[in-house]
Order: sequence, then structure tokens, then C-alpha cells
Amino acid sequence: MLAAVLVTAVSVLPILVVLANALGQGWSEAVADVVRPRVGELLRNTVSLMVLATAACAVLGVGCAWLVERTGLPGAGWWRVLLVAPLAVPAFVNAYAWVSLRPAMTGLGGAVLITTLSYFPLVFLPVSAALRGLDRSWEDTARSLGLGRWRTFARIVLPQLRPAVLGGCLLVALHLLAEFGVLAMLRFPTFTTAILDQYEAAFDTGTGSVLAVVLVLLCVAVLTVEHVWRGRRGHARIGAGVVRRSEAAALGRWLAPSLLALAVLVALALGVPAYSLGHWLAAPGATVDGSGLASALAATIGLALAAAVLACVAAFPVALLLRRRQTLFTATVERLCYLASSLPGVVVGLALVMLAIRWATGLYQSATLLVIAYAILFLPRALVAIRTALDQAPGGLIESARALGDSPARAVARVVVPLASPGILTALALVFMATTTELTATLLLAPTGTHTLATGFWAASSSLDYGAAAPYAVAMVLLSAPMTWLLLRQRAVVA
Amino acid sequence: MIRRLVPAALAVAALTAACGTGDELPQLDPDKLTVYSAQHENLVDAWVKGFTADTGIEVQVRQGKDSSMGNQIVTEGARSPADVFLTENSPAITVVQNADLLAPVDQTTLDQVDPAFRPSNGRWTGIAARSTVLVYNPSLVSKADLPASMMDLAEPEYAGKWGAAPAGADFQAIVAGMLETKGEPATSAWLAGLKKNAKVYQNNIATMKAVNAGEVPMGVMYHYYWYRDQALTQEGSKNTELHYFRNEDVGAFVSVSGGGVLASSKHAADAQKFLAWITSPKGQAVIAASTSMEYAVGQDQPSDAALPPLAALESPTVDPFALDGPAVIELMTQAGII
Amino acid sequence: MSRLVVEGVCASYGATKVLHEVDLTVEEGTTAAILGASGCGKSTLLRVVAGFHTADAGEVRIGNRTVARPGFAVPPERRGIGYLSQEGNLFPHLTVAGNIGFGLPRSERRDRARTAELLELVGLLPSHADRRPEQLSGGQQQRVALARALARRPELVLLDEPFGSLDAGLRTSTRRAVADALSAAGATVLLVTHDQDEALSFADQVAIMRAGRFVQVGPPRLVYSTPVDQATAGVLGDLVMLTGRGRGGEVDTPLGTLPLAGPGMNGAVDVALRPEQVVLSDPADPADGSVEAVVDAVDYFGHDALVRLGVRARSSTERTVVLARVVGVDAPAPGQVVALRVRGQVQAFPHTGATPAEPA
Repeated sequence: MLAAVLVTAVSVLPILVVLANALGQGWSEAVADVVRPRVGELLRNTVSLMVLATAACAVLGVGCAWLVERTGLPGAGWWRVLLVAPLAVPAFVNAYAWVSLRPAMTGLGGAVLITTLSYFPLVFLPVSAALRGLDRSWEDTARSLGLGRWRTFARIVLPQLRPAVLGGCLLVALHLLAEFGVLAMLRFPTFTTAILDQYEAAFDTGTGSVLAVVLVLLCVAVLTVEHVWRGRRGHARIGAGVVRRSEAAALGRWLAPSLLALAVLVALALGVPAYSLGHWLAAPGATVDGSGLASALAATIGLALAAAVLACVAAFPVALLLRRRQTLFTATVERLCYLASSLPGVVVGLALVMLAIRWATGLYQSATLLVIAYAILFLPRALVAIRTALDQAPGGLIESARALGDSPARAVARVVVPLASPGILTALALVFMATTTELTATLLLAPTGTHTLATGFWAASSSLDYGAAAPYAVAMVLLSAPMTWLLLRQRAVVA
Repeated sequence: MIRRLVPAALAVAALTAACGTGDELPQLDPDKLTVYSAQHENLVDAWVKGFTADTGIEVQVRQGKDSSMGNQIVTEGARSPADVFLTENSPAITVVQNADLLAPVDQTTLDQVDPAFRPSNGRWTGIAARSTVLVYNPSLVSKADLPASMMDLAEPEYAGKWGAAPAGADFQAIVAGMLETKGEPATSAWLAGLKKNAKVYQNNIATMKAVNAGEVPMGVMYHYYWYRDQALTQEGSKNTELHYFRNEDVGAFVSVSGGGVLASSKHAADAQKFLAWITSPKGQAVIAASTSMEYAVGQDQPSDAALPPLAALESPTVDPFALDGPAVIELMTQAGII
Repeated sequence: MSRLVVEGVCASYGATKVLHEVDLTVEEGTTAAILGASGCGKSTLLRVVAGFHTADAGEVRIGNRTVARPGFAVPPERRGIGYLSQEGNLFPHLTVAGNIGFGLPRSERRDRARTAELLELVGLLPSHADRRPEQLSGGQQQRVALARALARRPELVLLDEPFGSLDAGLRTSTRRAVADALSAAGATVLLVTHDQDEALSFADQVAIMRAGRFVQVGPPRLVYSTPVDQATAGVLGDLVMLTGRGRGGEVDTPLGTLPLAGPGMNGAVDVALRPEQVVLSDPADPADGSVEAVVDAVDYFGHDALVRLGVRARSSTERTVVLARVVGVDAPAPGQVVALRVRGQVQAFPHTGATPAEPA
């Protein structure tokens, strides 16, 4: 339990550090930093991007999910894979793909387009899982009470999808708040780009921290909105019975337009990056810096492995704690972890830099600090996956084992570990893949002279050296491609 | 119990792995001469090769960016493993200088450099120089319509007509020059104009390529990007021309790249030798011979033949030591640029 | 197998007290069933005996060992118990043989003969040994769980509503198999259930729990025929309730004067009797003491039938509804007129509301 508290405290630490640093320059200074026209501009940009892109992702996600799960769409299995696959392409690689072909793709419009194409699977996944699990009995009841098909969908199906849609939109919104690469490339300033600019220019100023605090407040606001909208309604149902699956709705004359629409979406989300990467790899004069790429690859893999292990180890005690009966204490721990899960990479990176400078100079500019940052950032993902893994071994099994003579430790070793290992491996893999494409915190924390695939890519693409950037981009996509398969297998939302 | 031990054991393993990973990443060999360089990699690599060939002293380079590297050195303080610090612009090394971390440069080294390109206090020396230029796309703007002074770019008629990379140290040095020569009110006003008029790019190359692509008619940057691109594939600049403001205009500002020896250096003698070498005629000739296209600052040292001579650029006289980087950042923050 | 003694056990969850001074003794080789509604505390008591929950006060002794007392509790793995939960909780990553051998020392785990012996004990085939839990039916899983628990030759076997999640058809056969296995093993068993059929058929001793206390403990027949109060009577089976006037050892009811079980009562009383005590006969040839009744409805269950009858007392126009349980083949038709009489003793409880009766 102490371990769990420690882990939670470390996760939430960045918020405190950033807050302390922001206020450290004096309250009036901090307020002056916030009340600037620039901040107004950043706020406008950030909020408009969030609202537009999240709405677009919601519409696309629900629409695609409905088409794939509830209609007689041919090749639904393939479509499902194709519609989840965009998650394997990091958003900034997607932006690179578009901008390198069409440099005019800048500003709000471009940002909304590219982020929507990158993140709509975050809504698609949970909504399609929810649709798959929906029991037909409510809809049958509604039809028997006189509601037609569309009204049944609106009044019965959609409300049941609400948690899934809201959960997916929450993820999209949080990703957008944390987004850096795309927006820097598209020259669309938001809080994240401004914080990094401040860091580059002025390093340890309060201004950067103030912006970070505002960003954290935005994250909290998003979390609150989602929580309020989700509501507390459950479903009342007598008896377990058997869940009946719904019948597929026939598309009829909508079949061709639906297929076309899906094809266009996949072409935009997957086809454009594929074409662009291929184009730049094959471009004449494209030199592949072999040794640079190799060392970046080695560094990335090494860091990602360490981060995966650390994140999963840290998540374990928290997962065990949350398995217990709900008390105020466990509820608080859960809420704090939830809050920590919303922290953008830039805030964590910034906080750790400041922490290291002030109090842990031995860690400053070290790979260890970077791994810790990764672990903090991706702990929530590991936590979700490990909780699911531990659910494979419910408490009743441990009791049975104890009744059969095993001490608690032996019971865990003989029962929980074998049952939870596949899930734990999944958790390791998910954190690994998330780390390989992390950009923002790496830019802040990587020891000078060290490049990961992401920062190597960034160095090349920010000089518009697209040919040199392409191999890095391809390497990243290949490393995170297995994520598609894992997410589909998991059939659950990954934070 | 095992439930507690296993995670702890794994944590230890993970951290060991992380530290082990640190060993795979470039770690600094304490026996070699350590150069913290924000200067362009190809130029520094050429210098290091030449230096090691001549003296046999092994050198390792850590590559970074002006501001963050300067700040890193300040943070590391006396514990910094750096022996030599090389920058692209002077504000960054001034920051280190102001933290009292630099040792005086050997006089013989200083004497090799043109006095215009080193600070009066002798704590560091210029190692190369670059000139501000206006890059423009002739198909979008004619030579006659170009602004007479860089200050004019803040005027309403140039709204949306030019681009720059204000978040970078390069541009901030140019603004520092403006601050020094024109004072704060004028600089603030000009920055406000920049905010209204200019398109913001990530760096100088992006600016140049944008002008080349016709996205924006003009851009403010440093000269060598253009010459470099012209010498190679011309992909980023074939539709562009360069305009020098001259007349001691702020737009003719020449930024000095600095080199200094850290006071805490454990290889002080070797460090001084390094600085001496790169400011020597041989070292300065490397600038001309390499593709860096920067200006040499050694006494009577020629730069690449393609470049207009420094003297002809009529740059404003500014003591490189007087450039105040942090003040520029403050002004830019207030103007809402960063 | 050993004797179980529970003495004065109090337990709580957080601030809520769940068990109040509970006492129970289960003799060696016998079965006790704790019967009660959900939430009455019966599972908590079982968990206290098992060691999964710590009591606030009281003692638990298994055999001659004290396994729990204030300030001291032996952990579950050292109490020598066998535990069967409602979900069975077979380990999904092990085969049946692996599950059965789980609690055995490593040397004995491979003993196929012992595994086969245990499987036979619970009525399964030796070929089941290599199957996985998900390949078995619910009833089979519970049998394997029992075999697993018995493998260690425990001193005490604890069953926590083990048949609750089985389909009705499986429930009876599984229950029988489990009962046979336990008696063959000579086990001391403590069963917890909310199903009165289970409690009555399974156990040598039935303890009825309400709100954390035992309201009645005794052999099934005693508890069934002489429940201590009306609520308890209702828990154990269907009741026929009549109003009547007590006169010492007898009570006057619309069905005639009936002998009372237990202490006599005077005054207004509620009379309870079981539907099995109501005997129907041909109205043309009524038995002694019969009254006339009309069949209102018949609930036919095949093997028996519950007949709802209406009796009009000669003295008043009131209609008393009576339930009678008859063998299926003898079920009358609705509307038929029959003669009914009550056999055996009836229970009387003081009438709620009006004048309380004085005990004789």
C-alpha cells in the first residue's frame, strides 16, 4: 500500500512542481503572465482545436463503429483493422506526411483535419466494443412499445453508448491538449508549443510554468466535463440471462456510399502517410544516415524497455490497492491517478527538468530521468492494462488457494502470476510502443547529444529535410504497428 | 512478502537497465577534451578533425542549441564536464560569461581575431560570424519594393509579407542587436509589428523554403543558409534572391559566434589550444573550405569566395558582449510572440 | 475430522455490526446448515470460521485447537479447512488433476491413483482428470472443487452456498453427489444457504440466522414442525395461517379443535400449520373431524400439488383460505367440494394486535 501511495505521489508531482515554479516568481508576476493577449490567443487556438477535432472524431468514430458493428457491411473484420490502424502512425508523422506534400496545409483547418484523422480510432474502438456488447433486449422492448428503428437508435442505443463515446472523446481531447509535433509543424500555436518555445529561449522561467499550469487546468476542466456528462445512471436488469446480439441492419442502397466513405477515410488516414513516406524514402538524393538511425533506434529501444518495466512495476501496487473494497482512500488514489493520466508530456518534462535542476542535479540530463518521465506519462496505460490482467485472477481464487494451504505470497505466485502474465505482457508492450513515439518530453529531457527516433525525426523535419526524416518515421511506424493488433485483441479502451 | 519483494526487485532491475542504457548513450570520456557546441555540426566536426590531426589531442563533442546549452552550462556550474563552449550567436555565451564561468582567453588567441569580432573583456572570442539578410522571392516582390530598412517591416504595408523564426536563438540575436542600437521602445514597437505582420516558422531553413515555395514573399534570416543551399541542390532557394540592408541598418547586423574556455575545465591548457587552433589561419581556413558558408573572423582571413566581403556589408557597430538575450526574450514574451 | 465450536462470536464490517454473540457447535462427522436470507450474516460467520474475516470477539475452536480469539487468529492456510465457494473458483490455468493436487505437497501431486480416488468419491470419471475447468459443467466444477478441498483431508469442510449458481436440474444431482462424498469421507461440514430445501435435506442440524443472531438451532424435523416464531416458520416452508382461540392445550379454529404443540395458550392466537397436515377426503364419506371445503385453485407440480381451498365456517360467513399439499395423482379439480381435516399438532403464536394470550 505504501508503494501505491508513493507511485501516486510521484505521478502527481509534476503538477505541484510546475505550480510551485509558476508561483515562485510571485503571484502578481504569475497573474501578469496569464493575463496577456498571447495567452488569449493560445487559449482560443487550443479550445477551438479541441472542440472541432473532438466533435469530428466523435462523429466519425460513432459512424464508423455503427457501420462496422451493426450493419451488413462486407469485410467488417478488415474494416475494423483498417480503422484502428491509424493509431500506429504517430500524429506528428501524419502531419509530416501531409505537410511535406502540401505545405499550404497549415493553421486551424489543417490541424483539425490531421488530428481528426489521427485520433478518431480512439472513439471508434470503445464505441465499437460497446456496440458489440449491447444486449438486443432493450431495443426489442422499445420496438414492442412502438418506437421505430431510428427513434430506437436515438433513444435506446445512443444513450447506452454514452460512456464509450465520452471516454473516447476524453482521450481525444487530452491528446489534443498534449499535442506538440503536429501543431508545431502546422505553425498553429497552442499552449504546448508556447511552453516549449519558452523553454528553448528562456529555460527556467516562470512564464513557461505559468503556461503549464494553465494547460493543467484545461486538462482538469476536460476531465470534469466528461465526468459530469457521463452521469451515474446504471442499467437495471433482473437476472443474468444470456446477452442477445443484435441483428445486422441491411444497408440496401446505402451500401455503396458507405463503402466509399469508409474507403475515403482510410485512404486519408492511412493512404496519405503511406504514400508520403514511400515518396520521401524513394526520393532522389534522400540519404539514409545509417549510423545515426541505428544509434537512435538502439537508444529508443533501450529507453522504451526500461520505461515499460518501470511503468508496469509501478502500476502493480496501485492495481493491487484498487482491487480492494472501495474506501475514501482508494477512491482518492484512483482519482489522482486519473488526474495524472491527463498530464501532457510537456508538463511532465518541464517539471522534471526543474526538479532535477533544483534538487536532484545528479539526475539532470540523465537517461534515468527520461525513463522516469516516460514511466509517469504512461503509468495510466499500464495501470489499466494491469488491472485488467489482475481481473483474470479474482480474489476468490486467492481465497481458495489459501484455504488449500498456501500462504498469501505463494497464492499470488501460483495463481495470480500465471493468470495475469498475458495481461502484464500486454501492458509492457503498450508502454513500450507509446514510448517509442513520444516526442515532447524527450525533447525536454533527453541528454544532449542523444537522439531517439522521435527526436531524430524532429531534427530532420523541422529543417524541412523530409528525405532524411522519412527513415525515422518509417522506423517509428513499424515499431508501433503491433499496437493495432493488441488493441483489437484487448477490445477495451486504453487510456 | 513476495508481493512486495518482486516489484522492488523488478524496479531495481529496471533502473539498472535504465542506467545501463545510459551507458549505451554517448557518455563523456573524462580524459578527452569536451566541447559543448551549439555551432553547426559539420563545421565543428571539420575543426575537430583538423585539430586532432595537428595536435593529437582527442576531442568529444556534445551537440546542442544556443540557449539551452548555455543554460545547461550555467546550471551545471562548476560541475560541468564542458571544457570549451562554442555558440552560434553571442547572447548565449554572454549568459555563461555573466555567470562567471569562463576563464580568460589567451591573449595570443585573441590577437588572431579581428577586434570587431570579440568582446572587449577578453573572456571569450569570436570564432565565426554570420550576417542578417532578407531573402525574397523575385516573382512575388520586386527589388524596388523591398524595404529600405529592416525596421520598415513592422509597417502595415508589410502585413503578411514576410516570415521569420522568432523562437530561435538566431533571430533573438538579431533583435538583441536592434535593442542595443535602437533602444527598448523602438524594439518593442517593432516586435509588435512583427506579431501583426510576420508569419512564424520553426527555424531559418523553414523560412527560406517557405519563401522559395512562394508561401511568403520575404524572410529574415542569416546569410549562410542561402549560400549553402545554392552550393548544393538549390532545392530550397532556387526561386529566391538575397538582399543586404547595409547602411549600418539593424538588418545588416552581423552576429558573432562565440568560443570560450570554462573556468572549471580540467583540461584548461588543451582547451586554450583548441580555441587557439580554430581562430588560427588554419582553423579559419576551414570555415572557408567547408560548406558552412559562415564568415571567418580571423585577422585578414578570407571567407568563402561566394560570399560578399564582410567589410562591404556595412554592419552596425555593436559590442557582442553587450547583447542582452534575456531582455529580448522578455520583450518577445510581452509582445506575445513566444 | 474434528468438532467445530463457535462461541460468542461478534463480527462487523467497518462500523456495521453483522454478528452478535453467535454460538454453534458442530459435532464430529455431522453436518450443520446455517439458513437465512441474504445479508443476515451467515456468510460472514463462515468466513470467520475459515479465517478470511477477523471476529471482534468470541472464540472459534476446531478440534482441540483454538484458531481464533480476541487478539489472535490462525491464518486460513493453517486451519486445516476445506472451503467451497459459490463460484467454485477452480484455477483456470490448471487441469482438473492440477486443481485437485493444488493443496497437496509436491510429492503427492502426481499421484494419479489418489486423484482418481477423489474423482470417484465425488462421482466423476477418472478421465476427467485431464480436462480443463472451462470444459466442465457447473455441477462438475463444484464436484471438482469439493474433491480439491477433500484432497488435503481437512478437519472441517465449509460450504458457502455452493449450489446457488447451478441450474435447477443440476442442483439436485450435484447436491446429492456432494452429500454422498462428504458422508463417505466422514466429514464435519458447515453449510451456509438461503434455500430451505437444501438446509433441511442436507443437514443433521439446522441453525436459522436472522440479523446476525441464531433464532433457532435444532434437527430439521424439530425446526420444521415446531418453529420458534412465525417468521422462522415462514422461512422453512409454506404455512397455513388460521385465527383461533386457545384453551390450554387445544385451540379452536375454523377447521375444528386442534391439539397444540408446545406450551398451551389462552385467548386469541394465530395458528400455523403445514399444508402437508391438511388431509383431503371424499365429502360423501368424510373422516372424523372433517369440515367441508371448496377447491379454489390447484397448483400442479407433477409430483405433488398445492391445493387452495376455501372453508366456510358454519358459524359465520367468513371464508378461510387453506393450503393443502397432496400427492400429484390425488389432486382434485377446481370447484370440487372436498372434506378436509388437520392431522398432527399445530403451532400457536400470540395474536398480533388484539388481546395477548396468557400462557397457560
